[in-house]
Amino acid sequence: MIHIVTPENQHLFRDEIEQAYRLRHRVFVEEMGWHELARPDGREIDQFDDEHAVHMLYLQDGVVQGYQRMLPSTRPHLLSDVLPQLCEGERPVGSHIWEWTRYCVEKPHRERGRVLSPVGNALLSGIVEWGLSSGISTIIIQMNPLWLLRLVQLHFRTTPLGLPQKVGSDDVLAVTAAFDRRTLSRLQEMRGEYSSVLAEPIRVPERLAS
Amino acid sequence: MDEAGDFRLKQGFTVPLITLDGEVAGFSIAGEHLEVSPEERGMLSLLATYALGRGIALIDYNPPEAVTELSSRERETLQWVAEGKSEWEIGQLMGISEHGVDKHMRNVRRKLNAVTSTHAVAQGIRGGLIH
Repeated sequence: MIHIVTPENQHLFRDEIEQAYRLRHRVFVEEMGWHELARPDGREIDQFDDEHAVHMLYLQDGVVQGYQRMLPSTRPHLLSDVLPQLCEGERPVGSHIWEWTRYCVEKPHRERGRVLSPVGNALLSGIVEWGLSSGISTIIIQMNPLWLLRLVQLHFRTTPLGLPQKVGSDDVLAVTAAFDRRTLSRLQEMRGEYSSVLAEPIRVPERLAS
Repeated sequence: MDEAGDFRLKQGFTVPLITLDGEVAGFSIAGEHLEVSPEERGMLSLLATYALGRGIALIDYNPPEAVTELSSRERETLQWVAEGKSEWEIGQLMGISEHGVDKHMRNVRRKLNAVTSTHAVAQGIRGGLIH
């Protein structure tokens, strides 16, 4: 199941968030070689892990097997502050647009034969379910260009923000990907399950009187 | 091997792609002289991705099957109506009386849930029964 961790409920997930920072360090620093993120304590934490970040955990028996982080496009995020060169035109900004970062899955649960793994599917479904119930329709993604075809096939409406560029030794492409109920149906079809992947229903904050 | 050169395809490159099902595909661009800058290479890889994505969507697309069955004579009558022929003309073309044409069209309207013959033509085109 996917657990969504925000400042309101983070006291319930202290240990799991610790696990997530360690998973991030193992995947991004030790495996992918993003050495500038290395930290002596083995927890990968950056300037965007603040009270505005939304963490999504894939938990199995209390163990974090998958993770991703969503950042609001209305605040500093990777595309605005770290990789602005990937966006050649106007940067997409709005309360309905969030950036998807730090997607990672524990090794035994990864894509086999490169088909989207059940954990990967659940994490993506988590974004779509969370987005559909909180008025978010679009995500910004910086990714290997090979991911683009998968997103297109999953009924994300993708728009490249620029051409693929080298970042270190990796080819990286920035896109916006809009989703709707069709995207969710496609993910559910692939999973063979039509129930929600979210452990707790989304609480939509009450609209303040204007 | 080497046959591509006979067709003046001397230089080229392939964009490798992997589908959601883990199938590997390649999109090749070739010509006699190919000067492609790194930016253009990136552009072509995006082009290849969207072309393949669209192609897969078209292969997977199953047009809704026409559930309504018209007899071949009924279908032919409707096709002539769609061509703008009058009942008399259709009768001549099909070697039947005007009354026979009217009978066929009445069946067509009933089967296609159409109120008028114009409506039946529209339904017939939508359902792929006529063109």
